Amino acid sequence: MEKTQYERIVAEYLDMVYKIAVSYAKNATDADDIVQQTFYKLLIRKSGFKDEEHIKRWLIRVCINECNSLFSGFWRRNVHLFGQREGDRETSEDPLFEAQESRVLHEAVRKLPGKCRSVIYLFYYEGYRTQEIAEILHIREATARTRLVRGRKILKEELKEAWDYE
Amino acid sequence: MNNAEKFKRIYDELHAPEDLLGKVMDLKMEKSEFKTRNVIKAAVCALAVTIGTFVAGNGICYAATGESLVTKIKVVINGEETEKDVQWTQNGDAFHGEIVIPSEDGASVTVLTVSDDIPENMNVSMEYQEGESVGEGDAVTEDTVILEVSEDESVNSVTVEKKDVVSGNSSVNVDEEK
Repeated sequence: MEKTQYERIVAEYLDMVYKIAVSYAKNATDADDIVQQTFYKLLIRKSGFKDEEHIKRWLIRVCINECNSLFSGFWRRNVHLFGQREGDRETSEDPLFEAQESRVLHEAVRKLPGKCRSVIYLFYYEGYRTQEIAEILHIREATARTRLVRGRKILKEELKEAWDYE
Repeated sequence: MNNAEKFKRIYDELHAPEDLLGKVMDLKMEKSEFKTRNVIKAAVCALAVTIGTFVAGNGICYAATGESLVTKIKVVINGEETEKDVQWTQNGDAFHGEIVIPSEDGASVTVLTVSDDIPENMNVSMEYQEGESVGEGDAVTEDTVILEVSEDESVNSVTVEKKDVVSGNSSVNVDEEK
């Protein structure tokens, strides 16, 4: 990929990729790794893109794959360094968000199962419909809908009145 | 405020840090150099290992005799136990090993071993053939013992009893120690 095109895509989509990575990662270092791996895949990609939407969807897909890949390894699943266990991590200490409400919602999203998390994020933040989410994630639309419903239910249980019932 | 608006408000305030932007922008240069350097290093290492293996292999093969690999075998000559070098040479796919045993009158007895492979423990069976020609370039006398490698027999020592070197009336006993 040409340097100018690469820099333009980075400038345009870095925040989007970073947000997805943050929704998965347990710390800033992991998020940085995921982002760098995603854009490295972009760098070495030989075929071009049809349009901007194709670039965006491709980056979302690759980023989610990188997240799953990073956290599916034996070490990541079984080894918890001091201060990284779920119980050890205090929501109020999360430096990514200043507002308490933001931290609570972000923590609730991060606690969602990975499959539900990506669907919830794409539906509520990126504004994709379930059919589009199914295309991005290469799953059936019914599966995307099921994951959306399950994610909503978990968020409702976690956030209670802070989450509007839909 | 509905759930989508909450998501928008929360994640809109989240931005990638500047240092990450720098890292991602410089990713191409770093990764490319890293890859190129690694490929060069790997190629140099592979070449060095290949040359090293070749040199070391030849060094081992020609170290003692200048032309063959050397192993040890216990030989009993006229009741006297001694350890002899077996000099191995390759002829096509077969390895030929020989033990040169000097006789009392200055002549020599050559023990020839024929094998498809170099036996690690010298597990061989023996056959004495009087006047057998040993092979190309060997210092052969009339007394020749042929060793034939056998996988199912274990012979740890070879006894050569020389009675009459000149006439060739030698006898060979094989001690089988399984």
